[in-house]
Amino acid sequence: MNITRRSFLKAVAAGAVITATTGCSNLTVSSTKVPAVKKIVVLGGGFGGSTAAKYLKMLNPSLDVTLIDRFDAHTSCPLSNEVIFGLRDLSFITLPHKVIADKYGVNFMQAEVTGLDADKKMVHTSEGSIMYDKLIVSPGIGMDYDVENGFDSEMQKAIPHSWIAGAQTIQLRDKVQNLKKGSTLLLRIPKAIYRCPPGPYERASLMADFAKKNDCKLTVIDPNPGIVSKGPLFEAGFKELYGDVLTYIPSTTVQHYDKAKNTIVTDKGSFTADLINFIPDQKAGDMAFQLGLVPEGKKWAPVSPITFESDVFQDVYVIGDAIDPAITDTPKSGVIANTTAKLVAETIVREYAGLEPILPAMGNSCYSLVSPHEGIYIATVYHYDPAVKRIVVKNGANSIAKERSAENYNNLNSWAENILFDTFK
Amino acid sequence: MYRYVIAVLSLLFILSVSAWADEISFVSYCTSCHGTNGAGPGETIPYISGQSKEYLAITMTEMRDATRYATLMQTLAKGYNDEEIEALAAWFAARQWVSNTNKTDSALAANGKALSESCSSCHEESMREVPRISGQPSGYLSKAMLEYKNMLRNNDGGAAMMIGVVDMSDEDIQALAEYYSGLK
Repeated sequence: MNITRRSFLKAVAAGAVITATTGCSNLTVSSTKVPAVKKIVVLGGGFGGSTAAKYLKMLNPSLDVTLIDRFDAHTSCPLSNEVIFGLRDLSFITLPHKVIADKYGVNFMQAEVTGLDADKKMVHTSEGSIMYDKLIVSPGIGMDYDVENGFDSEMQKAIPHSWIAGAQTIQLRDKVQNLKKGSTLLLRIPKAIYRCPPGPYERASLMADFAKKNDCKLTVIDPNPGIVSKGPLFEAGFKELYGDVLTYIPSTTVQHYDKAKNTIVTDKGSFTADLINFIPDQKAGDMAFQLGLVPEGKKWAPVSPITFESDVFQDVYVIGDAIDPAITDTPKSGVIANTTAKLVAETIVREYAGLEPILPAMGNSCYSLVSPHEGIYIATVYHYDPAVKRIVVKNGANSIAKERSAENYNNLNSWAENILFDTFK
Repeated sequence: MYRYVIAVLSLLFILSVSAWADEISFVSYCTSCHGTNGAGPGETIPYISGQSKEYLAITMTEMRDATRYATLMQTLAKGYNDEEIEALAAWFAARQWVSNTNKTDSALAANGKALSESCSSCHEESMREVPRISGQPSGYLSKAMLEYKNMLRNNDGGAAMMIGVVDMSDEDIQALAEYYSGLK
């Protein structure tokens, strides 16, 4: 590739500094002021954070990269629906942070993040405070409870959402396993915009499959006017595979949860069931609010659609589900978190090499199950369009599968292995 | 002397970082499915790093034009114009080939070897439009051959050459896939 003389010389100057400080610590370079090695801190070890940490080290091994997460492993939401219904083992979706730490030289710190001092460029955690040159925050989602509706995090303990994978995945899996034949099930879909547009309908499909096999009945209540993603494909599954066990009711607004009667009161009637899976409406993860990345009255973290730098703090980047959908048409998905992370890693490495950021190019390939062995997908290419200053679909490259199929299911398995590998291994 | 060493090291370092940095954004989405370094553990998704540049470009173009059977790649290929496809193909072709590390079923592979003479004449050394197949995951190789056998891929650049698989049994196809997959 061609490097212009000017950018080359700029790059060499920047590079000389980086190389001089990392390779030869025993030699003194007394006549040159040598800045310390650049420290990048990444908060959150999910699809966004883990990819960021790994790719930063891949692009520039001399960077000091620290990944902080409250758990020693991430549990993947993608594929967790299979685990809930006994189709896949929990171990497949359990991704220890140690793997990229050992392989790429990322410093992993298991800790709770407690605060941010952006002026001092310092993050406070339960294991101490840590300075950064650049901070990448990947908070994921949090639940937007409307407490007046009588539904809050306390209620959630008995009625898990399992929309953040981990303990609640196991809890829901156990509830499903312990259901008696002839039971009733109720699933509440969240109101768009939320994490993983097709996800709740994949859960509905697998729940319906379970219902079919266990003489159960499933009601799905949805605040959205219709199926939010891969609509015709899920609809076909609902009709053709699950017509006798599944009732799907769109445009249903939850008004109140009666805890004593375990009943969800809506504008379309009252609903109760032996097993209720209530997925609340969503907003940016708690950490985004805690660190001041979400301005008053907003639900998501505003960022630049080119660099993903926070609108609130300099040298702080926000990636993944927590970002403000106003700047992008991309869905909140693991693949988008993964590709955005690579972009931000590159932006930071380019900055240190004296190069301009590249305009974002990314994509989303997302597979869902309609039944235990039939899959569907959506595939989209995105890019930053300077005319509208947003990330939008590129060249109309956006479509869903023609139909559910075993072939899509086989590809789903390969895709799952590869995205988990690219992110966490 | 020391300053000279530093200058040379930083030159090499920056050249490698810049080469990455100028193009990764473009390819970073591809690796989400095709795997870091263009190779991943999934059986049905092909390795693309170190593949023939001509083949990669032709394949993306054929998928974009729907002359080659594919599922979501037909949609994704639409996202790139000719120049971008050339750049993507060149980038991946310039990377190191990574072979799969799965354990080979040696009996099955031996059956495959016995059938491989007419394949090797073209595929032994990937010549421009002819893709490298050695070291690809066997799931992908058998998938590709079955697509030719079942006439799904009857319109792309390889169709005329691959006509031989139409008369093969599925078992023979699996054996061939296992043989070539095991060749690193």
